[in-house]
Amino acid sequence: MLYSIFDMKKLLLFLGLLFLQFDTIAQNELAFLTGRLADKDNPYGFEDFQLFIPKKKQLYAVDTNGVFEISSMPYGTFTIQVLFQNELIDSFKVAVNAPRIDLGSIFVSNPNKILAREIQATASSVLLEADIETQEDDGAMNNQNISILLHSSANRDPFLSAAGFVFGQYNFRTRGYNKASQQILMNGISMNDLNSGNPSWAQWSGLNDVLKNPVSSYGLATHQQAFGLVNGATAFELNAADMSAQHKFTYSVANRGYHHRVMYTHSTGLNKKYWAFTFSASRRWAVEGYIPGTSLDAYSGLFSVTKVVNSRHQFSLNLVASPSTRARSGTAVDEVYDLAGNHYYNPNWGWQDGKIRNARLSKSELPFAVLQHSYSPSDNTRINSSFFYQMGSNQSTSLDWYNAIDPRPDYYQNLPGMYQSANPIAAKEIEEQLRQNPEQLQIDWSRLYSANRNNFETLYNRNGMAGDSLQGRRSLYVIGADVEQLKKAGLAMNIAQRYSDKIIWSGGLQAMGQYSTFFRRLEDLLGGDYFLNYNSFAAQQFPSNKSYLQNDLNKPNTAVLKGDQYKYYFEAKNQKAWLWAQQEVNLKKLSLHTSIQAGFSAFQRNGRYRNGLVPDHSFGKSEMQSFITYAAKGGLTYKINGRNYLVLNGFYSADEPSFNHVFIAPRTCNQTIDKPGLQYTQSAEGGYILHAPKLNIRAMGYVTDIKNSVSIQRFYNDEPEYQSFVNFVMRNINTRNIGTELAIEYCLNSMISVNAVAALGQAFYTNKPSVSVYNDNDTNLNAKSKEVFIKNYYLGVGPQSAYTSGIAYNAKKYWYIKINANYFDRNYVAVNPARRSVEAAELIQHTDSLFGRIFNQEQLAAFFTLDISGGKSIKLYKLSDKFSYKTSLYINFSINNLLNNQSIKSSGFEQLRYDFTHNNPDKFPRKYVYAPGRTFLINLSLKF
Amino acid sequence: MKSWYSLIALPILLLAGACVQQKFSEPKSNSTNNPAFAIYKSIAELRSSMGVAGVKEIKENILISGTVIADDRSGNFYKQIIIDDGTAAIPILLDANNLYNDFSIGQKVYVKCKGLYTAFFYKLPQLGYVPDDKGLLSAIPFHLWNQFIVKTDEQDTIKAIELNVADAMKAKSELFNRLVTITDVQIMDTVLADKYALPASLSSATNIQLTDCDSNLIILRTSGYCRFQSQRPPSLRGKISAIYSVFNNTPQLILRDTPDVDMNLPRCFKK
Repeated sequence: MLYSIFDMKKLLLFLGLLFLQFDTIAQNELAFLTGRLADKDNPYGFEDFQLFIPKKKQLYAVDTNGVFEISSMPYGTFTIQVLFQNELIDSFKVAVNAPRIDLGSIFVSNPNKILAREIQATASSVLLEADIETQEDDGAMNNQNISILLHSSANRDPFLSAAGFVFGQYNFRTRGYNKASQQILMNGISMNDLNSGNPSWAQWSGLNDVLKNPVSSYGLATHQQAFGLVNGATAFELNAADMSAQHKFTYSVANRGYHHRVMYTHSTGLNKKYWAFTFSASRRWAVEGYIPGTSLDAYSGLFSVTKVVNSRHQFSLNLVASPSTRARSGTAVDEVYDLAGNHYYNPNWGWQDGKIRNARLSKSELPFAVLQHSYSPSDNTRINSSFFYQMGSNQSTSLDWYNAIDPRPDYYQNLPGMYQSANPIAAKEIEEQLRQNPEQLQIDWSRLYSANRNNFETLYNRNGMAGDSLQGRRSLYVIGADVEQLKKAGLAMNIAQRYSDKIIWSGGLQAMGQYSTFFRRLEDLLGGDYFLNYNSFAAQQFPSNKSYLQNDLNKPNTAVLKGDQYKYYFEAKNQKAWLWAQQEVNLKKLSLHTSIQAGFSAFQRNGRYRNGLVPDHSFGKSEMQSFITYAAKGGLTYKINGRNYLVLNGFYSADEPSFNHVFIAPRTCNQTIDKPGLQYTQSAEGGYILHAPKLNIRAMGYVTDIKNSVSIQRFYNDEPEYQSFVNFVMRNINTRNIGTELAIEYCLNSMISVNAVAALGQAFYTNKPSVSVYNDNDTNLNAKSKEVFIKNYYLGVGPQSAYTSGIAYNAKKYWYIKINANYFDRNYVAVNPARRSVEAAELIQHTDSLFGRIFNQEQLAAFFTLDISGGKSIKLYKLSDKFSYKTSLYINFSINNLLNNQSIKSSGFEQLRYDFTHNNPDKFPRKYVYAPGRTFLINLSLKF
Repeated sequence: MKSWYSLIALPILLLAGACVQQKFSEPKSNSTNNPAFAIYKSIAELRSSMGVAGVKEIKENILISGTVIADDRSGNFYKQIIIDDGTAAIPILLDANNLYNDFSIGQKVYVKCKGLYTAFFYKLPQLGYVPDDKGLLSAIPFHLWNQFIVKTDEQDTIKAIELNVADAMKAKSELFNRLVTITDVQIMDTVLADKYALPASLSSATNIQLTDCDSNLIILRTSGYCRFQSQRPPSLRGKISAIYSVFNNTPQLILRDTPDVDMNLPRCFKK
């Protein structure tokens, strides 16, 4: 076993000591259980089914009719797992409290759907890569659909299945929410970042084998492990005792975010001494991904150990790491896509040494450990306590330059479009040159090196020491990394009790602390000897002032060398704690639930640099920002009969603003927005659900108002009056997300099913927020304020109309094929609010077409795609005696965008710069991301 | 238990496949030393082919070379460098800021002139690109530089031509764009500024009157955007090196940077 590789003795001894304090509770009474697995869609019978009880670490046979018998069951609550070809496909809980129990018919998932889920979960992880690749730059990375993919019931709910598997790959977001709208739990611990609220999936990506069955709630439904956010909660449980004993090798080949993936997972199941171990590791990589110049090298590893002390106590320890490095893609304007002749043009790379070198690398190393104690004081009560610790870093590199020509190959000033009106001949020549020399649209590394090598300069008064000077090649261009180093610790407790047949209580608490250090670090001097810790924008604006340009007045004129910090350096401390309680009442015709939550949140900035522009507000600690938060939700389900349900839920929450939305320019100074306040969310959903053997229908409507939110957009403003980084602070933003979700799934027979799904939403601004523009290079902290007219503009949240219709064929010989036709519409580009102000169209008549071009919001073209997927499982042990029993091979494939449409704009945004001088909306054109053309994935898994 | 699987699987996982992370060696200089081109002309010959006025397109395969005598490092020159081959000098208009990254003083460059244009900017000869909608030469767009300009690693020093103020006052066209050292000069009392230039917010450029002891005057021109804008010029007398320029018929000097100002002698007063 793997654990024998490591010196486990000390750990085991330590854990053993912990367990000693719990007395084993004797279970003298034994019971006899009978039941029958049932599934009307199952064309195979139950030949390859087995049951597994993790607590007893025992397998039980199921006959071809699904009938099973379990003898010698001790009293208590047990999870019984349903295995199909040794793979967990479903589970159910039983309370053993009588000597003889007949469980009756138990409906389980169709194994073909499980097979389909396997490929879909695989596809989802690929999708995740793609998401990170294409959207990170816009700060709009959206992971929420992934959680739906992993939703334990997604394969049963036709809407969630489509939203995740089909819509998710085209930038669709359920209900138009952002990624901070869902709470992600790992063994009970909330994984959402305390600074931003976002859950970073990179922390565990690649561990598909062990993370495929989380417990999720969608929208406003209840979850017994968390109060949840407006888009629900997803709870992953890592527990070696719940994983059936097996080896699994997987190899995948694809042309998406990665080209190859290898995974290996081994679970021991519970051994005779009631220990269980799971080991899982994977590597995903692409030397060059779908988009030119991108690459991925990602590893992941899990080590999980569970000790079942007795039927009441259980400990599990999980160690997770997922280090990854990726070379990223960028966004561009259509002019450049056209010049490059490629919608997947990537400005981030160039040739060096005969190889592709990408200036924008992201690295994530955020390993964590969770220790969990599960305690069942009675058969009806469960208390989980978890302790969490994490330390690691995220970093992201990019080019920096000081007194140098802009090194970006698609820099707008150098493009033909800039010359068009004054000098069309020059424009034509540049266009010709770029079309014939596409390498000129990539970074010219050789030029950067040679500029650095030729730039001999003397740095006087180095480190503020008079007379100390340094002679050498001052790098004009360097590569720096924005680094976040974090340490996070958390405690969580979750209690759930079945008080009676009708009432379930649950509740819990969480307390978290996160300490992050943010700075920029010099990674490569690109042939020079040193770099300067100067603010290039301040130097440009105030060439004569020798202190304004200092990033750190405490150590002026620093020569920055490789590995040194520069530009900005600060710490963020966050504390957060909350308590929640929930009651669910199940009556014969009606189910009711109510939940409340209250919490406390506090954070503080501590500047480590004294910035030359704001020397009195940058160094040292800010005031502590603290907030009391609260939330409540409730709802009811009316059961018309066993198949027809009516659902109505409501939600209200008051949440703290995030660190990044309170500090105006956290990299520079301690200044906050004036009186930061809570953000209020109110949401309601209601609808009709039908669960019949052949027909599933879901028809839901929702409306969500988010009020008093803040957005701070930071960008470089090229306008002559600014020429500086600008913090564009929008306050009191109100938005509404309203829409319907319709899904119907019908099984024509045991082999063919068809479905149709539509998500029709509107996400838009409902007021005119006020905007203050803070100039980073302005020593005056008072900002100009104005109103922006963005009421009724749509949010840029992907297609707001999405339709799919599919047909799935489940053949008798363990293979399936599935085809989906999809249509997406009403995808709006994200607007630049500053462009919807009085100043943006001064003196332009409303009837002038220019007025419309400035104010109208672009709707991206609707598009149609076809996806196809299929798979087969082969029972190798039936083919040859050489294979041990249960050895099976799974082959899956999926092809997305089968028609290879490479002109799908999946997202777009208006640049935040605007030409206020000439009111020319085309000076800074919109930027777009194109969805990949035809992509494939082939997946092979061997289990034994 | 088949524990050997784990032992095999781990190294396979970690070693599988190609190496994604790459090491890069530093690129060698991509400058060329002796480009072999057909027709070679001196800058003086190019100048004489320009005539005295008007815009001309260069249609022949003309190659000139020269050493950069002025760049934009200090910010007093904008979107141009000046090259000199010992016979004459000419500015080359290039469309970018921070041209000194690629073309710094002392560096030798070759210019393939076919497709470029010559013209006179208020009588000052220039080499640039297609005239724009105002009829002025445009600066060579960044993406076209390598069509026209060949950088080299060769370094050279061009000696400044010494002049007194009286000679400098006579707009001599053979001196246009050349590096000159004006001797025995001081900043005129009445404009004795405490800064080299007014800040850009007040004026994009400043004319500083230079005088000798005989009341001869010449303009020294500085930009509000230059890095030495707020520095205090010396109040003494001495030498100043600069690029000799002209605006219509008025000669003027364009300062490259403050080390070109060498004034340590006592001021003289009007006799």
